[in-house]
Amino acid sequence: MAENPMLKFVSTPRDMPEKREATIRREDFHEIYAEYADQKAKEQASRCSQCGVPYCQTHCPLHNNIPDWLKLTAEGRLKEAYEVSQETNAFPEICGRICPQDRLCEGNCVIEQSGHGTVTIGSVEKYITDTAWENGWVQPIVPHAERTESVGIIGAGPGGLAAADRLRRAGVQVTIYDRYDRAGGLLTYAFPASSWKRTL
Amino acid sequence: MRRNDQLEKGGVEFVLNCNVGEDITFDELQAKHDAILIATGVYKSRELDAPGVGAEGIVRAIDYLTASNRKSFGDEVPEFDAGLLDAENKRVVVIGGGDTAMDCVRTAIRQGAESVKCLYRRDKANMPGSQREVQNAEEEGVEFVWLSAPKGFTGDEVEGVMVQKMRLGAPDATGRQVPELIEGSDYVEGADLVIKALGFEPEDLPKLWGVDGLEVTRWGTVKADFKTHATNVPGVYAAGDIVRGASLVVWAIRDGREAADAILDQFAGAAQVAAE
Repeated sequence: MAENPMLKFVSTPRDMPEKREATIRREDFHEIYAEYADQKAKEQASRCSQCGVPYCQTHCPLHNNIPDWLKLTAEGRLKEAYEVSQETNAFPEICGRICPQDRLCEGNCVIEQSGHGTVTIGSVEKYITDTAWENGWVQPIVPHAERTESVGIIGAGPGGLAAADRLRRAGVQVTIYDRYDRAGGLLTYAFPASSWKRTL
Repeated sequence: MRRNDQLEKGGVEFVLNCNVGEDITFDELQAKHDAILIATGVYKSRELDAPGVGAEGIVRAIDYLTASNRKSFGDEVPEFDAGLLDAENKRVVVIGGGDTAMDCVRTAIRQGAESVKCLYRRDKANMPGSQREVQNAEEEGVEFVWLSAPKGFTGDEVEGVMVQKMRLGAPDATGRQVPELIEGSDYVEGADLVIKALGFEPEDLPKLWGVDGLEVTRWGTVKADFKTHATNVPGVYAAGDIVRGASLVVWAIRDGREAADAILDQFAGAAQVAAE
C-alpha cells in the first residue's frame, strides 16, 4: 500500500510562514506574514488528520471543504485544490488573510484540540489561491447560457460581490450600484493594506 | 483590483458613484430589475457623548482609515495633507477594542506616530477584537490601556483625553460583565489625535431611500428571512452587515451566496408559472 500522505501531525510540528520583524513591519503596509514556499505548504497541509466529521468545516461560515483541499495540496494537485476551494468561496485569498481563523476553522481543528497545534488552514488557503492567480487559473466567469432575468445589487462590498459572482455564474444579468468611486466596500476603504495585498 | 476586474470581464456591470436615494431612486431600481439585493453594510459610526468631543483632532475611525487607504491608491486627500487625518509625529489615542480599533492603531504606527495608545473600557479577556491582532500590535509598539473610558477631552484643538478608570462589575442579562466607574481615578492622557472606533450602526435605509414599506428591526437593521434573506418587500433581499449588524467578511460572503441562491429559486418558480 502506498504511504498515506496525510496525518503527519504526529511527526511534523505546526509552522506558520515566517512572521516579519515588528521593527520592519512598522515601516510599511505589507503583510505581517511572508508566503509559504511550495514545499512548506505541502508539508503543513499533510498534517491534517482528515477527520470524518471535520470541525474546521462545520465552524467555517462557508462550510469550506477544508480537509479535501488540504489533501489535494499535500498531493501537489494545486489546481484541483483551488477548484474545490473556490466552489464554496468566491474570494479564498481574502478569507485566508483576514478571517479570524483562531475563532473559526483553526480554533476548532481536532489536532489543535488534542494539543498538537492546528493545521495552518488560513495560510494554506492563501497559498493555494495566490498560486492559482500566478498560474492564470482564475478566469472570468463564462456562463453556460445567458438568462434574461436581471438583479440589481446595492453595495459592492464582499456580500454584494459574492452574490454577483454566484448569480452571474448562473447566467443572470447583474448590476452592482455603489456610492463610492471604487468597488470593494470596507475591504477597499477600511481594511488597511497591511492585512492583505489588495487582491479583491 | 483583480477580483473586481474579473467580475467585470465576466459580465457584471458596476455603477459606481451612485447613491441610491439621490442619483437613482429605489423605485427606479425595482422597475429596472427582477430582484434587488440590499448589501450596503453598516456605515454610521457610533458616536461618543462626552464634554469636548467636538474638538478638532477628534476623528471617526472610518474617515481616518479611508484617508489612509485613499493615499495608498494615490488619491488627493486634502484632510490628510493638511495633517488632520495623518498620525505622523502625533500622540495618538484610539478609543475602542474591536477589529476597527486594531486597524487604526496599526495604521497610526505605520504613519510614524510618536506614540499610540488604545483605550478600552473592559479588559483584554473581554475585548471583541482578535487576540492575535492585539499581540501583533503590541509587538509593533502599541500600548493598550485596559479598563479605561474617555470621560471628556481638553483643548479646542485636542490636547488630552480625560481617562476614567473602570472595573468589571456584575454581569448583565447577556452574561457580560458591565464596566463600572472607579470614582476619583481619572487622569489626563496627552493626545494630538483621537480616533473614535466605537462600532458601526445601520443607516436609516427606509428614510434615505424613501421606502417606508421596508421592515427594519429596532436596531435599524433590515429584517430578512434567515434562510432566503428575503425582506418583507417582494423581490427584495438583504444580506451581510445590514441584516446582521457589523460582522465578519466571511459571513457577508455566506449571506451573499445564500441570497443569490434564493433569488435563483424565485426565478425558477416564476419560469415554471409562466410555462404552465
